[in-house]
Amino acid sequence: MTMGIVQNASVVSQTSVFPGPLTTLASVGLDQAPGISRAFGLALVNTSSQNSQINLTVMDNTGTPVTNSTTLVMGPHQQISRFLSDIFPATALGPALTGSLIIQAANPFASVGLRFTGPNFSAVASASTTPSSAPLDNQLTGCLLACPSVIFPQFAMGGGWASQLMLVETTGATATGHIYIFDPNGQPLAVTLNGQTNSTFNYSLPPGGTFTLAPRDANGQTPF
Amino acid sequence: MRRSVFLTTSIVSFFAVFYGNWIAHLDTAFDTTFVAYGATSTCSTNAPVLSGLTPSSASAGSNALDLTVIGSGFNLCNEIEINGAPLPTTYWGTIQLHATIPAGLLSTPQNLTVTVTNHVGAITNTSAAIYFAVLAVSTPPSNPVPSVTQVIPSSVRAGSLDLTVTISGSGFTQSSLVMVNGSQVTTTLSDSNTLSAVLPANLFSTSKILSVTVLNPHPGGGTSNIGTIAVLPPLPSFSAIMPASGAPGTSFVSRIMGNNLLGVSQLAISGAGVTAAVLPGSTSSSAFVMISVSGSAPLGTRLLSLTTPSGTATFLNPGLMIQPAQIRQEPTQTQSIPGVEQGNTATGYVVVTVNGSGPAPLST
Repeated sequence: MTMGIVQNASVVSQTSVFPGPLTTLASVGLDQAPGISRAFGLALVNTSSQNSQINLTVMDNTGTPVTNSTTLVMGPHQQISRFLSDIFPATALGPALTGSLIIQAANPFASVGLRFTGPNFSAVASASTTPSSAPLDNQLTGCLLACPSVIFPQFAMGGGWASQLMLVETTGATATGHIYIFDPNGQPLAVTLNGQTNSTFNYSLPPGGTFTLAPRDANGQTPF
Repeated sequence: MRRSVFLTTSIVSFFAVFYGNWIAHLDTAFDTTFVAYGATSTCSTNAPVLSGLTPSSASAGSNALDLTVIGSGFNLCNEIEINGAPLPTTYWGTIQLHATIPAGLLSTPQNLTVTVTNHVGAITNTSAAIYFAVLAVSTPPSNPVPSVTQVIPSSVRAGSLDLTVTISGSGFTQSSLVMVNGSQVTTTLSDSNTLSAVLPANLFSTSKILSVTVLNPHPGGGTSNIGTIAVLPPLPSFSAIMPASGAPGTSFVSRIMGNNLLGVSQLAISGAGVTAAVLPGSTSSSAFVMISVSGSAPLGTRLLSLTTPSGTATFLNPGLMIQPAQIRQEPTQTQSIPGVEQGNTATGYVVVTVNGSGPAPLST
């Protein structure tokens, strides 16, 4: 998925957002220095159908926690996207910090980090230390039984932000499926993509084919 | 022949004196009465009468057997004879005599003639005969040694399901067992020259030679010579090719997907103007080919078949499509998109399902 900032029909910044692996323990590198507009953001989805306490620990480059761990309580299927400085006290993070963020929970979650330098940003994949073998919750996939699925923990649209999803069929067989957009509370989020306003989009890919779901201008052109 | 008297207590000394007197009397008196603990026996010239034997039969091969002869008029001068040969006889009273039939007389099936002979002086009287039956022991017939001449089918592909094979040969019986690689399999007798056996699928997991023998149990019996079933490498299968289409005048690498593709040597493409060269790097599930489409290659669908050391697989549908190259237009300058640049930012996350079925996600 590509996510970016668009102004006056031009892309100011863009990054790829990779599917977040379902896990119960993950780590992601971070580098932030507010004084030079360097910030770190975290997107996190509680993929389970239960409330989940998610513990966050920031460590410096020697592996030493820089402050007390923080616990986020997230409802079923809820998502947050916050800057690190909104989660931990700025005094604890200090003027500059290079280290890592450890994310731990009893229930599966998906996460991705975002590094900002001024208006430019890039995604930082979180490394799963303890992958979850559980499939994505059926309430998120709509499947009566478990079905293959992926989750992108961050999506943004409007106010200068755009997101574009590209699917590629690699197995040599026709692929069909659904794309569901959720808001931070886990409720269907209707957005306008490929000229349709909806929270659910269907796709069908021929073998080796590609499908792009994106906001489009009057000529059908995508912003990225 | 020694005679004895059935006594309930030891009276050897008494009997010795008594017996000596009896011998002395035999020479002069034909009718002599003996008294032993109240039992009275008088040697008589009358022939004894037999009415029965206990037991009256035995199986051939039995050990020595105690025989009681039942009748009347028995006395101490009597001897039991079998086939005319006297046996040591015990007098149990006027209606019972006892003797032991030696094992040698019981070795083969026959009817033994049992008589009781009365010896008084020079006079010998013999009873009418009754018969003791030495019975034949019924034994199962001896099984033949089986022989295998043919196993049909003689080969099967690895990965096959349970298979019923027919074994031709000789010496097959109801108790014959088909053994495959030393393990018994379900066996059914058709006739003495034909067996069928069900070979379970787990015998066909990999290519190998299976040994097939027939075992006949004892008595007799034995194990046959070895027949064989070859488990051949599995045929390749061809499930997809990607890219599955190409334009005239292009060459491209295509990935063939399927099973048992190791060692692919050729991808044959029907029609003119399209050739394929196998590239290194094939695995069991993937093979790669460089497909070259000449500029003059006719448009349309081509049939594909691939060859491996174990056989040929054909991919019928949809095949390889030769089609004109897509014409791509120069893009226009992107215009502003209101939903992107205006309004508030809506955030959230995205779930993509692949080949899923079912309704849209439930509201949470």
